[in-house]
Amino acid sequence: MSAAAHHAPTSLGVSHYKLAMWTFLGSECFFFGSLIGTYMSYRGKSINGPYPLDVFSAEVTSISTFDLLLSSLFMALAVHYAKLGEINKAIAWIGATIVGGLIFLGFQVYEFSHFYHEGLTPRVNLFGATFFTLTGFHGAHVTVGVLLLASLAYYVKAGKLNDPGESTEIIGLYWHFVDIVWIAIFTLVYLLEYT
Amino acid sequence: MSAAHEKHEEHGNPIPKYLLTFGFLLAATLVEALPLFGLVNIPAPFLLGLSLVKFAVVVLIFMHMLGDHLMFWRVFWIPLVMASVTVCVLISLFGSWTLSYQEVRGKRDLDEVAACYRARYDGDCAAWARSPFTHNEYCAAPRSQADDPCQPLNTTMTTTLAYEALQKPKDADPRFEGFDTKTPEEKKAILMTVGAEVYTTNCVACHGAEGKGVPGAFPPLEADPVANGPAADHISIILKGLNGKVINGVSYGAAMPAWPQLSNDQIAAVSTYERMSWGNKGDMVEPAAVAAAR
Repeated sequence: MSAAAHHAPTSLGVSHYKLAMWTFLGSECFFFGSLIGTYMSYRGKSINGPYPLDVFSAEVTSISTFDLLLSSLFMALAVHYAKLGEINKAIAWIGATIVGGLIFLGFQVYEFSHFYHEGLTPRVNLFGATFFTLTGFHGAHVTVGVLLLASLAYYVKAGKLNDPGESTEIIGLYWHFVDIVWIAIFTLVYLLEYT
Repeated sequence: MSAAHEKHEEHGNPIPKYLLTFGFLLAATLVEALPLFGLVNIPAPFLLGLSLVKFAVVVLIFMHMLGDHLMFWRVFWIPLVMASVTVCVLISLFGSWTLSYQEVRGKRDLDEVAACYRARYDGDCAAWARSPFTHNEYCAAPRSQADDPCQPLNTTMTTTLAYEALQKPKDADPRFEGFDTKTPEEKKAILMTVGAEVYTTNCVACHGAEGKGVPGAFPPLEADPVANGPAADHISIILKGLNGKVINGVSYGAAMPAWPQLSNDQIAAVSTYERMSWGNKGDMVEPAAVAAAR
């Protein structure tokens, strides 16, 4: 039997909520696929600067990437404790995940305003247009993730969920997905510029 | 079956596995970060492979794909593969498989493209004034191969490249070198000479060589209240355009487009020219005033 054995009986034999999240994440692959495809197609075609290497900061990118990876670990621990029914530990790790997400968003705000002051705006060149669209939508997903986690922590604490373990797992799936999108962006947008 | 499963989960504490996974991800990221700081040069294919492994590890372990129901596998991996194929198709059609950024940049002489579009933008103004398009639309529109010098350079994304070329600041006019240190008479001479050129290139189609305009369509600049009034209004109209203003009791049908693509020197010159020609009594406009208005 599969690992997802706690859910209520369903016609499909798997949790509908969890299947819905996986299906949604499948559609998110198309969403980010189109944005990444656009970024990659327009890569190196800007006539005017600022070009990527004029504005990128190795320190900021590395630290925020590390921070998002760390938050994924926290999320996995939160799911683990929520499934064991250790609610307080689960909430603590959800809180740590939220902090990780907020730090990432803080770095993105810093990065965007730094780029703006360097003269990179969405309308100044192709790099600006595609970069801000791609990373901006990723940041929006992190923001949604933070809001989901915050409401999850509230409902788990208030004891309003039938199956806190499953709810935490489903929101955890979303969080990890946002992390793997960043793994792709980190490589394609940032690392390739240094090769 | 459920109870047996829970028992199994209790036996297998996953925390060491999670920590090991994180340790691997951290190590991989540290390796990736080496080229960021210029420490080691890692080839692009290796970086792509490493990120694929990281991607797979997160999905398999943190997202519990390993050992989970096959249905989840299908609704995620099938769209993922389709999206990846789409990305590859887009890159093949419109982009380049050259991964190294320096090589991507070196593939085309972008300065040549920019110069070509700028030449197109600076010319043809009279034809544009009679066309129903905005200035940017007219100048960026693709033309037939025969009369378009830019066509051989680009077959795709013509409009975008043209748009970017328009944003690029023009090279400084050598006649304005050391402008701030010159006497007012010298300044006026430079501004009037350059202004006449800018006027002839850009403004004459509507406002006429003698500044008389076209009755009912384009207002005259001769005896115009703005050309004889505060310079700030004059600069603002050139920078931002004007529409629907009643001038000396007459309303004009055609809107004045904005001319932000002109340099500060050019706008100072043309407004000085307009303010000091055809009996107008306006004062001289210096490039610094245009820079401030921008």
